[in-house]
Amino acid sequence: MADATGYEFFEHTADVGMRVRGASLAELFIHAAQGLVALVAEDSAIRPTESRPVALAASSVEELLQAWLTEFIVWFDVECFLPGAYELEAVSATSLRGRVRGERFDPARHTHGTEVKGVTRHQFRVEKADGHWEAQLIFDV
Amino acid sequence: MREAWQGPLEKIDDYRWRIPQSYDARMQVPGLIFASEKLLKEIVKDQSLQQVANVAMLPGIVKASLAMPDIHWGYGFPIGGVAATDPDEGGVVSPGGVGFDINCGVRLMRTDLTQEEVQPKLRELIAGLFNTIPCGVGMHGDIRFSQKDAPKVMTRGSHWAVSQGYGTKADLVHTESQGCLEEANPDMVSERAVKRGQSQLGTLGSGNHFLEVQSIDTIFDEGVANALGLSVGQVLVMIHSGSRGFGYQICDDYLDVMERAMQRYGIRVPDRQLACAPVQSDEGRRYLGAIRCAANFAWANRQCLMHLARGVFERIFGKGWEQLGMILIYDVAHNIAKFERYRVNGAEKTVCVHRKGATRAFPPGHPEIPEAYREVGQPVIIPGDMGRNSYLLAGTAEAIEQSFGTVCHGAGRVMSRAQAVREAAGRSIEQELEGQGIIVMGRGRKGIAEEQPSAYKDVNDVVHVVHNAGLARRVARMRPLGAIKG
Repeated sequence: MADATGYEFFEHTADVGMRVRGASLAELFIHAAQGLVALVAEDSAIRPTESRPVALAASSVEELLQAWLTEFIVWFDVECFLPGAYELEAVSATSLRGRVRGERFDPARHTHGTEVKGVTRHQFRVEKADGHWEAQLIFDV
Repeated sequence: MREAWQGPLEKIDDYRWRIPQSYDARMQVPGLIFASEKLLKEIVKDQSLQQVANVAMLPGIVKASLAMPDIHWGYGFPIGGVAATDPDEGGVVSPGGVGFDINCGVRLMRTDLTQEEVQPKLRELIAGLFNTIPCGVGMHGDIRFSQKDAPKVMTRGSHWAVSQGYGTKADLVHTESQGCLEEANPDMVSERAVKRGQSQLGTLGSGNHFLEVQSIDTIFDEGVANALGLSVGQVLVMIHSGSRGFGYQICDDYLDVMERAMQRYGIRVPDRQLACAPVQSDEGRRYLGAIRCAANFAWANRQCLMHLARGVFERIFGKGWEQLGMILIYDVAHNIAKFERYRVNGAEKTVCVHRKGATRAFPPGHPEIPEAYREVGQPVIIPGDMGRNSYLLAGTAEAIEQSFGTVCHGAGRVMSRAQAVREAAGRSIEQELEGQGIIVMGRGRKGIAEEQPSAYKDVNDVVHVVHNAGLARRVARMRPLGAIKG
């Protein structure tokens, strides 16, 4: 399962699979976002210079995790915004609210990783097991 | 996660294999895989054949769930998967059969330059392309369109790009569907998709997208090659990109729409990514209206990329692109769903053909191919990997009978990205390629390692199957001189 970072990638022939673990739902979501950023910008240091609100609602925990990750994929695509720190105030299985701090991608300081096109629904799972949360998903890259 | 195929596989002949419908009671049709025994050894190692069987369960699918020899594990459909559904029989359209990168495709442009003429300036040329064409994550382009112009890009595709000065009308004739699908409906596209697309026209992207300078090393069919003005040693330019964030967002938006539609229409599929709706439903029509916008965006994008490449050649070789003979040979989509007419069960039908990592290949005489190619068949562009070869093929009548006028789209991955990076540890793929005379420039640290030649099947093996199965015939083979990657 996921290593100390809370996420790990697994092999998929064309794309990238990711397993995520968190002691709470909030931690699961943060680890998933960190995994996404590790793909896009690898080990780049991200300065938390810009703060943005995030508020999402969905009909299931799976859809909420998809919406959360898609939010960052879109922010990056449109404004090259890289999240680096997360303050989640309220997280339930169908909604979350909080703030995300980060900065714009700077080719001089940040690493060009992999463009993530989207979060596929293929073999997508979010589960609660033994008091912690686990998720598995495949990114289209 | 790479679970090997345990199901049945019946040999039809040396290039055709069947997954019988009896494998799973939910299959509406059998699976048909075009592959050689050699390629099959790799194919059975991942979950792609299960995905062929899953696609065979889609409502209204006709004839067979098809797989091309470059098949590998995708999401929803396998990459290399083809399926046609009959709208009159409840046939569905599925975003899983098109993918996130709607109208990802390839275009091939000829030049009058020879390899000997390009070789002394090769490094300068590749660097010029690399510095001019935005590639890699976080790189936006200078070609932008306003909110007001967005519907024009979506409905006019390459025609919009040409109207802005990025190319000429002759380019449009040599593009599948003339670079513009009718009945694109901008009202079905989210504001978010438009925002994602606004700074991405004329950008390559990352992953397996590339721009490659190639030279022809073999001509297989002199007649067709002559008709296309091609000979050994001639330099060509190949561009592989798609609809960028614009198309990715449309796919994402409609996966949610389709999941709700399935509940409404009582459709069950074995994989959430195969979420779908009847072609003749409101959701189906909305999705088709939206993906036509994305297809048009992708054609505009490749048109802009080609324009940028022409500018670099002009600068390096000190001549206008027309003088350099930089004429578009053809542009083909390989992730798309379109209506086409075929004989199904003895009757002529309009079906919805999904091509997920598969290329349209129409025969000589087909009304949808340009006048200039009417006698030789549609040019079919098959990129390989950056160390070996790529191919130009021509469509045949047999593909119409066997595969809904479709062939493979490339070599097909054989190695996961992580495995490719591990294989490249302690090596420089750039230097290894340079040792073979191939100059590759990429933005990312891992990108070139992930895309190294050995991560792919040998395109020669893939094309061997397509040619011998009669789906298309070989015209010319290219070898790479240099490439830029994201």
